[in-house]
Amino acid sequence: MNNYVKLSDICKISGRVGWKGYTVNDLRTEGPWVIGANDITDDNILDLTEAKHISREKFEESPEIKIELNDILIVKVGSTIGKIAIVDREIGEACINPNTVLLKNCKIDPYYLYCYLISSAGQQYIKNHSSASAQPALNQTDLKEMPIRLVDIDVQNKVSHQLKIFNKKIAINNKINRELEALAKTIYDYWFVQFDFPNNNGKPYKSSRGKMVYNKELKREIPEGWEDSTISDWIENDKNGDWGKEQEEGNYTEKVSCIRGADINGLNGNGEVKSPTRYILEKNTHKILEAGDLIVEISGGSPTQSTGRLAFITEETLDRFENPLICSNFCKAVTLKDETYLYNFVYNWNRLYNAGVLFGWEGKTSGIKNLLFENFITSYKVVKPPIEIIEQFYNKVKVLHQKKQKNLLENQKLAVLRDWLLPMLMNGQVRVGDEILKQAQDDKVGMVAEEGNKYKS
Amino acid sequence: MTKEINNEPFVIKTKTLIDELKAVCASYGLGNDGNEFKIISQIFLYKFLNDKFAFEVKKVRPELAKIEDWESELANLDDNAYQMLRYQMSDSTAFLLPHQLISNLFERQNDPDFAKTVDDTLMDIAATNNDLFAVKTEDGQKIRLFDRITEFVSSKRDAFAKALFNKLVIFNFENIMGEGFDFFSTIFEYLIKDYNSDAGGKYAEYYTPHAVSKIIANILVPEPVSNKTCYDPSAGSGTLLMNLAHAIGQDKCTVYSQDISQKSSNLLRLNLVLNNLVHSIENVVQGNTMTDPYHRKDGELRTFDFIVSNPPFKLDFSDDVETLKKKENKERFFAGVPNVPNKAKDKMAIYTLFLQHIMYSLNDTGKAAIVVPTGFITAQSGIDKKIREKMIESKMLAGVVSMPSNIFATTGTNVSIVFLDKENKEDVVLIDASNLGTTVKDGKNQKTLLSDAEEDQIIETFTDKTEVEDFSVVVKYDDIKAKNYSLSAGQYFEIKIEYVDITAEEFDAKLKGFESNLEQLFAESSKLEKMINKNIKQLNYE
Repeated sequence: MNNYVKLSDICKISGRVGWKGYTVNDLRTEGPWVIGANDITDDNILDLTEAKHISREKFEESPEIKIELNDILIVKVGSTIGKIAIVDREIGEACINPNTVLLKNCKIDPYYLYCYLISSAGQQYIKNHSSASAQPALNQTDLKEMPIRLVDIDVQNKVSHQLKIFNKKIAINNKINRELEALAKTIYDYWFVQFDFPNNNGKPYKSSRGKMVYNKELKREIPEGWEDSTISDWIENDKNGDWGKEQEEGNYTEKVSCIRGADINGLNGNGEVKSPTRYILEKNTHKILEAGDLIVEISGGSPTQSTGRLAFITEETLDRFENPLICSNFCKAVTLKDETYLYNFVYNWNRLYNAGVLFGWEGKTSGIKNLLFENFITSYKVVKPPIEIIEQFYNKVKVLHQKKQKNLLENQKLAVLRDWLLPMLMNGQVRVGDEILKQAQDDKVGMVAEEGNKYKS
Repeated sequence: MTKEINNEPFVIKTKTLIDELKAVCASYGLGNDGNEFKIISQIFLYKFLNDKFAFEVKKVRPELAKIEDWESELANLDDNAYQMLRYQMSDSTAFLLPHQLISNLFERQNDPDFAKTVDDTLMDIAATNNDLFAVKTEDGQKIRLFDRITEFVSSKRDAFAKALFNKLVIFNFENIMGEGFDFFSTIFEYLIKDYNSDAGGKYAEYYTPHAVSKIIANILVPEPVSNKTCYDPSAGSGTLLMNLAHAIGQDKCTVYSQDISQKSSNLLRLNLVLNNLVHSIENVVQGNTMTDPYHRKDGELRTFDFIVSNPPFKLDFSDDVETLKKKENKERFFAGVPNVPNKAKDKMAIYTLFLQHIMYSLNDTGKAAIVVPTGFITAQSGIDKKIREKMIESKMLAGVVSMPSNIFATTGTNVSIVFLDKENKEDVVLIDASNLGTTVKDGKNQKTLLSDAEEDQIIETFTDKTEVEDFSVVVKYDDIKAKNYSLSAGQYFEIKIEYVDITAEEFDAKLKGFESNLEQLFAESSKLEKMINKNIKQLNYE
């Protein structure tokens, strides 16, 4: 069975059109989700961390665009046109926003349809039928006519099962990473904010009546023997950014991947890293990043996000890239005097960053904000714990971050493998043994059983 | 507020007159011509002086007010009696002879050579009132009150003059003479709104926004003072000076100014006349404040009680660098003369010279407010930093207010206002007002407007030296020194980082939680790993 059907033959297509639109006034701080292009990653995964909420009234007004399990979303307008997401988990009440269409009541394996839509065949069709304007848009009538290659239901199930496993593994890795991150932060706060680090007897210091001394610079009590210092006290030197050239030319011969402000979150494991490949001068190779270096965003930000976002480089981070790394001119790299201080530096910095401290250290000469980096690190006072405790922390946290970066590397590889395999599976170039089908059925039972004790934390 | 409602008809009528005068110019081919501005401002000024004369003369001779044709009655006075009027009238009024009055000229509008008559009359008025109304240039020349305005049109001059006079007689200004500052600043702004752009000019004459002038005037003059000197070394049209003079009281201060632009000096003169500051016109000087500061006393540069300034930020002064670096200017420009950028001479940071000039021109009890680019308050090297150092070391800094972006519609540069006070002892107020205001569209530009309440919030916080979370701090000179002389409020905010201590038991429980979560996830992960491996083995090529 190798024939084509129209998309409208296998599912119901609805959008939020005409009077069903809404305004900012309909948005709420809680309630049903309203999901659109911004909530779908470039990887075609639903990500609700930034999703908005809509008023109940507006939500109930259009029942045909309420989102349910196994529905598929297609971005139909804007620069990210053609992004696809499948609702592969219970997300509670939700509906779509006007830049998205919703596919419901799918008569074939929805995962297979999802695979087809993100495959080159699906993406090509969408691209060809988008209006070629500054704001590309996809007409719903064109979408209805979209040909879908139908394969045997067994093959459908096999393909979708493959994809599910890949995506599930990636999701699990991300979840592990979040746990690892939270664990490290819990220990940091307990030891260095609350000062309940293990004392000589292995007991929490402050709770066991360890001596605390008032520090005038920091305006708070700190453990006896601890000091205050400026941030620059921790720093050996810094490396400026470089943007090089797009192509190899003249003396610009060193191929590097350039970390920009936009890549910092991805480097830390939240979202993608799309650092462009650039060519720099050989004499600038001293700017190449090494394990233990930190990257600070010094230009950029927004009214709600300050400059000063931080990422750090470990051996495992470097493994994620084919080329050596540098950072762009909008970032600055910092090398510490002692690599052991790395995690203390990171958690302390992020604590200040998250509290909004860095908003006060931005030069706002015009639109773009610049971090007054030198000024900040030379005059902002922080607590500097003794090296023994820092070492203990370093050893504890290092493995957590090693594991985290390994998971990120694994996710990268899995995504590549998945994207390579799927089209071949769908067009029958690669055949899948029946074993997988059996496994798929077993797994369905297994997953339901698991559901009960999952998201407990 | 209620006052505004009362003078609304006057505002409308005055604006209508201005519109009609502009329409006359336009229909005689002067629309948007550089000369249109001269005609409008001068004819308006003539009208104002004429009606002001009428107002004052009727004060001296109240019986005239009762006569409809008072002008003829006045003309009937004999010479001695007429000259007596000059001494009895307020000395800030232009003194006009009967034939120089608008009503008399109006009656002669059909005579041959009417345009010439008008020009001659205006020149006569300028000559007889030169002492009072002329603006000086730095080399002692005097810029007269009026030009021969009808000569700006190339043909049909008589008809043009006639058209202007037909507008002038419609509405009598005598009733507005009792109006106050708000009224006249509204009128002034309306009068110059079409001409106050930087189009084609090297010296951009940005009109200082209301919010900035209000904040400056109110912070500088928190309580009544008298007999003060006020100075602006880059006065422009004089918004800042007028607001300051109004806050002190027009009769309690003398205004001094210098500005390189002649257009500015003319605007400023008009502004002074409207605002009852005629006695200060003699202190309005056109010239280059940096190379040739005009105002002196006993051979030394004059010092002042109050200085306000919204100087140009960047301008090509490369030709003057030699002069500025001369020995006699060493003390005034203690921090140095800014570099001339090679590729963009017009990017020379000229405001640093104005700042230094102002610091030098304050007397021992002086106060000043200067609008600067916000970059000034944090720059880590160079002249900027040296100036800040001096402000701290000599304890003259009173505070800084960083304004929201786009407070000036015409520039994207963020601005701050630096307040100096030679008598300040210890406490410096730093305010970060960058989050205040509402953004509106102003033509193509974005503009941020502060509400009255927000302006008052800034003024009160500064004057009372209060600390408001994320908005203001009060710091000592030593604190500023310790922070590398940075004047950015944000760097001094105490940010409380929320943290609640947990007990050892809670900590252990949390760790247990992580442990079991991870255990489960790892198990799941390895199960998936196995599956993936198995699947890969199952794949076969067709």
